[in-house]
Amino acid sequence: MGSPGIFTLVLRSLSYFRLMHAALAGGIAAATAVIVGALVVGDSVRGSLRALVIERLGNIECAMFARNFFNEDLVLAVNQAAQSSHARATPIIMLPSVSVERSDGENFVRAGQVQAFGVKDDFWMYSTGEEITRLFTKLDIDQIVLNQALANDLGVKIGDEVTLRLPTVAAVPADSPLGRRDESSIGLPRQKVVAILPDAGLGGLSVRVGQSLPRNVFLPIAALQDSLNAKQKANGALVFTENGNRPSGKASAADLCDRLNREFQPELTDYGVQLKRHRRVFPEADIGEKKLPSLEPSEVVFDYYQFSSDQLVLDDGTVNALMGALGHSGMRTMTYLANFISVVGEVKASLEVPYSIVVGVPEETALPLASFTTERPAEIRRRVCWVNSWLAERLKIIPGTMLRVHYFHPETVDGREVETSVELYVLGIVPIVEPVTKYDGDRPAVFEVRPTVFNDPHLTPQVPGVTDQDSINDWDLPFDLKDEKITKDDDLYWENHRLTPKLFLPLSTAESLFGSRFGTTTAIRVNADETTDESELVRTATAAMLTAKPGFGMQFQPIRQQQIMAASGTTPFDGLFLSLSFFVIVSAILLVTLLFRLGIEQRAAQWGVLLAQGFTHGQIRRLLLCEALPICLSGAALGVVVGIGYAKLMILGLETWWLGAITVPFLRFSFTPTSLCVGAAIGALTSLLAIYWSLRRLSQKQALLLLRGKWDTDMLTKREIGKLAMSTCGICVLAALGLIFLGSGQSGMVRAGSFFGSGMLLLISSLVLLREWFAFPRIGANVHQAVGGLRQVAWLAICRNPLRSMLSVGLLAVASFLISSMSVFQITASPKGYGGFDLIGEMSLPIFVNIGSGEVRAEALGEREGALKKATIVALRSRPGDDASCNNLFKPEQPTVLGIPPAFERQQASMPQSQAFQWAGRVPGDSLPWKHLAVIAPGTFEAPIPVVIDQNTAMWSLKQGGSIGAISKFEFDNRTLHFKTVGLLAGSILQGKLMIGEQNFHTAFPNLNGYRYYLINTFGENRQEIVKTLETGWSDQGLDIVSSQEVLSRLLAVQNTYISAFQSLGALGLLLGTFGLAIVQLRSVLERRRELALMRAVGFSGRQISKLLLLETTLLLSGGMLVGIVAAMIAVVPYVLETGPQMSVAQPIGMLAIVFVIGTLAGLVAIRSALKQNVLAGLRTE
Amino acid sequence: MSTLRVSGLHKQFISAAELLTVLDGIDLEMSAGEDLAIVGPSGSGKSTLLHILGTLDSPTSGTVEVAGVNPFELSPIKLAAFRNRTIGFIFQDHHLMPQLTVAENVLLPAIAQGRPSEKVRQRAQQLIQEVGLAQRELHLPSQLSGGERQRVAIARALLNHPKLVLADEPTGNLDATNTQSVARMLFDLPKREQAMLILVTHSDWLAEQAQRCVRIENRHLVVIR
Repeated sequence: MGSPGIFTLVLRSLSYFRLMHAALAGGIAAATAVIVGALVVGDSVRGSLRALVIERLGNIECAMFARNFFNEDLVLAVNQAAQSSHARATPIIMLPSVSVERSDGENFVRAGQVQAFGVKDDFWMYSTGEEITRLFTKLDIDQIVLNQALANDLGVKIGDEVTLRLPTVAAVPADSPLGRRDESSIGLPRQKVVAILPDAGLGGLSVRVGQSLPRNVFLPIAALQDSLNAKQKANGALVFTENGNRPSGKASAADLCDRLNREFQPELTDYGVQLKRHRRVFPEADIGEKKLPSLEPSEVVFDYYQFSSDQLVLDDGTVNALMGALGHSGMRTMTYLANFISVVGEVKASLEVPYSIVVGVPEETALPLASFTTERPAEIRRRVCWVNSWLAERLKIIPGTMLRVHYFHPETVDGREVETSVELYVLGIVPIVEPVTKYDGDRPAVFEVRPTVFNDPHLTPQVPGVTDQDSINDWDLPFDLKDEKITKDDDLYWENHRLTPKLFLPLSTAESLFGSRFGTTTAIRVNADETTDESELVRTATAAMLTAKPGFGMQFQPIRQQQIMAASGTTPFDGLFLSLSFFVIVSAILLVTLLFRLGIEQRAAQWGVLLAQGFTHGQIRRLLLCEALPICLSGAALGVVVGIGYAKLMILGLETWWLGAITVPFLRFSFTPTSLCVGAAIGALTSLLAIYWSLRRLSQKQALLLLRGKWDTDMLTKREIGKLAMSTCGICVLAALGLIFLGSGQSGMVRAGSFFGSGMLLLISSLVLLREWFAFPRIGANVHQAVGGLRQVAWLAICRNPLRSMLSVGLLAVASFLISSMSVFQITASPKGYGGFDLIGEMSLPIFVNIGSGEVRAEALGEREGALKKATIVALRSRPGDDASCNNLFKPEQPTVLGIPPAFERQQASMPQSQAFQWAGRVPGDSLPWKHLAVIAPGTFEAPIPVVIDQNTAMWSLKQGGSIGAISKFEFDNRTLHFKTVGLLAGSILQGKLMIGEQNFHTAFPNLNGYRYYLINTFGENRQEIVKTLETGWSDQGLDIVSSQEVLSRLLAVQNTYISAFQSLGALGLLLGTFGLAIVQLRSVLERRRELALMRAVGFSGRQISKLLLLETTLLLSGGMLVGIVAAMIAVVPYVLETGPQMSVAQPIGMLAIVFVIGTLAGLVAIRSALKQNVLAGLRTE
Repeated sequence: MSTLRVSGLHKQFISAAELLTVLDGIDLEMSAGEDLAIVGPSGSGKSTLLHILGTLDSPTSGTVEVAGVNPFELSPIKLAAFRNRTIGFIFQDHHLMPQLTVAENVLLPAIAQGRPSEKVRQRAQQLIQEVGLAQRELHLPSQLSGGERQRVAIARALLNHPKLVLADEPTGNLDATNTQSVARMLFDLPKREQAMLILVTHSDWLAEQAQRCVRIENRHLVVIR
C-alpha cells in the first residue's frame, strides 16, 4: 500500500473531475487570452510604429535642418569625421512644404504640404534599397522622383511633367516693411517624373513623426540651388550609417552627433553675417582718376570693422554671441529708414525731408555726439536726437527744435506697412562736410576738406536695390515711394552722401522705436585699433558664433533615435485595449468564479466528509487551491495561445472596421515574450484570486450542510430586507443623485464621467436590492397565499441559489449598462466645434498679406473678390509641426503652433455663445479665455506662454491631465519653450494644435513670416464658390480648403471608434455572461433532476417543464439586461436633455437583441437536457 | 477509561421566525466498549443528537464530555483534531470520495494529519482485511456494491482508534444480506477496539443487536433497554 498524502488527493481529484476542471481552465484561458491579446496589441502598435520609422528613415541616422543656407562644402568636412564612425554625410536642401501641380488640360491637379528634398547623387548611393539603384543612380536637372502617395494624389505616372511651387527665400524678412511681400512662390516648371518610389521605405521619408503617409518629391540639389539663388549652398545634411555599424542606443547616437557638430564649423557668411573694414583717411591716397595734391600726411577719419547681416538686422542670438566675444570693443548700432522728417508745428511740405537714414548709437562711442550736445540729455524729459548740418540747414533746425520723425513700424500689420511717428528734441547739430565730387557708381565721393566721422555712409547696411542705385527714385522697395516728396536737394544729398545718416539717436531710443522680433541691432562695430588684425577678428567671431549655431538649426540631431523614441507613442495601446476589454476580462473572471463555485458545490458532500474526518476548513481551502493552481497555470498557458489569436483579431479590427482609431492601416502583428509572460501571469493570478475569493466563506460552511450536498442554506422565509442592504442602497442612490447634480454644471469628460458614475451607483443599488429579493423571497404562509402558477415556481427556482443567480444577473446587468450608456460618449461633428467657421484653409507656402482684409483680397483677386464679400476670414500665423491630435499615434515632439491675432478674440466675443468655440475648461468666471493669450511671456519656466489647447489634445496627446494652469514644455529650434494652459476647448476643429497669442508667436518664432492657416465663415452662402475662388486665387501657394465638418468628423472618429470597440468588446463580455447563464441553467437542471422528474410523475407535461425552464432563463436574462438598461437610461437622461440626443442607438440595441436571442437559445439547451431525462431514473435515490 | 457524558442537552432551531425545540434536556452516559441504539419516529431528533455527539452540530445548552473533554470548548483547529482522533463516522450514504481507492478512502482520516506512517498504513490494511475487501484495495467506490462501500466506511471510521463511533442509519440503503454482514462488522469491530458505538436506526432488528436502546420521544430520551 502506498503512502498517500494531500497531493495524492489533489492529483486524484484533478484526474477524476477533469471535465469540470477543463471547463474551468477554459474560463481562465478566456480571461488570459483577453489580457495577453491586449498586451500583444500594444506590442504590435509599438512595433509597427517603430518599424515604420526604421523603414522610412532607412540608413539615415542623423540629420540637420538649418534655418538658412550655408556652404555645402562644410558637409564635406563633416563627412571625413563621419567616415571614422562608418557614417556618410551628404548635403541637402529640404523644403518642408511645397506645392506640386499637374496640368490636366484646362484644370490643374494640385497637391500641397509636399516635402521636397534636393539631393546629391551620393544620397541615392547611401540610401537603402536596391530598388532605388535599379531605378536610377543619378538625377539630371529637370528630373524628379515622387513617392507613390504623391503620384496617386496627382494622378501622374513615369514620364509625366509637373510643376513645383517653391517658397521664395528672401534675405529681408517679409514681415518687415523692407521685406518683399508680393511674391511668395517660385515656380519650377516642366519637371519630368523619372521614378515613383514605393511609399514603404525611403519614399515615406519624413522629418515629422506620424503614421500618415507623407507626400515627397526628390530632385537634384542643383535644381533647387538655381531656383532659390543659393549656388553651392545647402540648408541641411543627412548622415547615413549601415547595418552593423549603426550606433546602438541613444547615447552612442548622441555621441556621433556631438562629433559631427564639433566638425561642422560654419563661417560668418554661413550665418548671413558680413564683416567689412571701413576706413577713411584724408586726404585719400588714391581716388581713381583724380588725385588731389597732398599737403599733409594722411590722417585717419575713421577705421573700424563692422559686422552686419544679409537680413538687415542681426538677430539676438548673433548679437549676444558676438558681443560676448568682443566685450567692450564691440559697439552696436541700429539704423533705420525714416519716411520723412519734419519740424513739429510746421505744415509746409517744403519743410519735410523724405527717406532719411536714422541711426542709434551707444552713448559712449567713437561718434563724439557729446561734443555737440548743448544740454544734458538726462535733464530733458523727452526723447533726444542730433541732426547733421545738412538736415539742420534744410529744415532750419537749431538745438531745442522739436522734430517729428515718420517711419514704418518695424513689423507689418496684417501684411501692410503701418506708419507711425515720434517727436524728438534736438540736442545738437553734428557737422558733415560736402564732397567736391559726388558718388559715381562704385566710386565714392571725393572730399577736399577733411570729412568728419559723421560723413559715414557705412553706418547704414547695404540694401540691394537701394544702396546700389544712383537716385532715390530708382530705389526698389516693397512699398511705393512718394516721388512728389523727393526734391532736388534730396537727390543731391543722395548723390553726395548716399545713405549717410541725417539723424542720430541714443541706441536705447532707437531700439525701442525700431527694434522688432527680428532684432534690435543692424551692425556691430569694432575700432580697428582695438583688434590685432582682421583674421584674428574673424577667428574670434567665428568661434563665438559656434554658441549661436544651434539657434540657426545648424545642429546634427540623432533623428533616428528621436523618431524611435516618439514611436513609443502617446496612446499606450496595451493599456487602452485592456481598458476596452475590461468588461470581457471581468466577465471571464466571473465565469471562472461561477464555474469554480459550481464545481465545489457539486462536491459539497466531499468537503463535509473531510470535515467529519477531522480536516480543518483551512486544510480544505489549501487543498482546493492546490487543485486550482495547475488548472490556472494550464488555463493561462492555453490563454496565451488563444490570446495571440485574439490579438490578431483585434489588429484586423483596427485595420478594417476600427480604422478610425489609427487613421491609416499600417499595423503588423508582433509580440514580445514579456507581454506573453506578463499576460499569462496576470491571467493566472487573477483567476487564482477569484478562486480564493470564492473560498473565503468556506469556514462558515457547516459540515452537516455540506454532507447533505448543500453549499448555501435553504432560502429563508424572512420577509424583511436586511439593514445593511438598505443602507448600501440608500448611500448608492444618494451618491448617484449627488453625482448627477455635480455633473450637470460641468462639461466634457467630467460631465460624462459623473453621469456614468451615477449610473453605475444606481446599478449597484439595484443589484443589492435584487440580491435581497433573491435571498428573501416571499413564501406563502398558508394555502391561500401559496404558490400560484409557473411564474412563481420559476421565481422560487431562481431564488434557490441567490448568489449564483446574482452572478448571472449582475454580469448581464453590467454588460447591458455599459453597452447602452457608452453610446452617450459618441460625439457627432456638431457646429459647436467649428467656432463659427465652417471652412478651414491651409497653404503650403505662406503669403505675407492678410487675406482676411477685403482690400487685400480685392487687390489680389480683382472682380472675383465679389464671391467673398460676405465671408469672414481670419488669417493665423502657423508653425507647422507634428500633429498632436488623436489621429497621430506618435508622441508629438514639436506640435503645430498657431498664432492667434487680436481680431480672432474680437470675432469670438462678438458671436453668440452657442456658435463660438466651446470650452471644456477655463478659469471659473472667465467668459473668454482667448483674451489671456494677449499676455506677453518669453516662454521660460517662470513666465510660460499662455496657450489654449483642445481638451482631447491636452489629455491624450500631451498627457497634461487636461487642467487649467498645467505647464507643458517643448523644444523648438533647439530652444525649450514653456506653455501654460489658460483654456481648454471642447471637441473643436483646432485639435492637435497649440494656440498662442500672435505677439508671443512672433517672439517665439521670429523668423516665421506670413500666414498659412485660415478660418473661414461663409455664413452658409456660396460655399462652393468661395472655396473655388480662394483655391484658384492662391493656387501657387497651394491653398487647400476643407470643411470644418470633415475635419471634426475625422478627429472625432478616433474617440467614436474606441467607444464602438468598447461596445463590441462589451458585447463579447455579455456573450460570455450568457454562456455562464447557460451553464448555470444546465447545472440547475442537474441538481433538480429528481424534482423535475417528480413534476413529470405528477402530471406536468414536457411542454410545461419547458415553459418553466424557459421562464427561468428569460427572467434572469431579461431581468439582468433590464436592470442594466434602466440604470443606463437614468444615467444618460440628464446628459441627453442638456446636449440633445446625439447617441447612436442602432448599434447598442442590435447588440443587446443579438445577445438576448443567444441567451434564450442557450436556455433551450438546458430545456433539452431536462426533457431527455427518464422520469424513473430521475426519481431513483442513487 | 473512555466515557461519554451528556448532561442537560438542549437543541433549538430558528425556523420561520419561530423557535423549534428538538432536544429538551437530554442526559446520557456510556462507557468504553458499550453500544447504544437510538430509535424514534422520523423528525424526533435522533440524527440531531448524533450530530451533536459527533461535534458536527453544537447544542443550544447543556454539556457533552467525551473521554473527559468537552469538545465545544475547543478552538476550531483543536476540535478538528479531536474529531479526527476521537470520533469515527459511518453515514447512511457512506460518503466515500469517488476519486480515491478503497485504501485511500480508509486512510483519509490519517491524511488529515499528514502523510500516513507505516504503522497507520498497516492498520488500514488490517481493517480492509477485516471487512473482507483485501482484494479490492485498489478499486474505486464506483466499482463496489453498496454493501462493500459501507464496509469501507466502517474501516475508515475505525482507522484512528476512535473512542466513539457514530453510525447514522448505517444499513438504511442496504438489502437484508448486506445489512446482516455490515451489522456484524459494525458491532464487532468497535467492541474489539473498546470504542463506544452509538447508532441511529429505524430497523428494530438492528436496534435489538445493541446492548442498550433508547428512544427519543417528545424531545426527551426514554430508556428502552
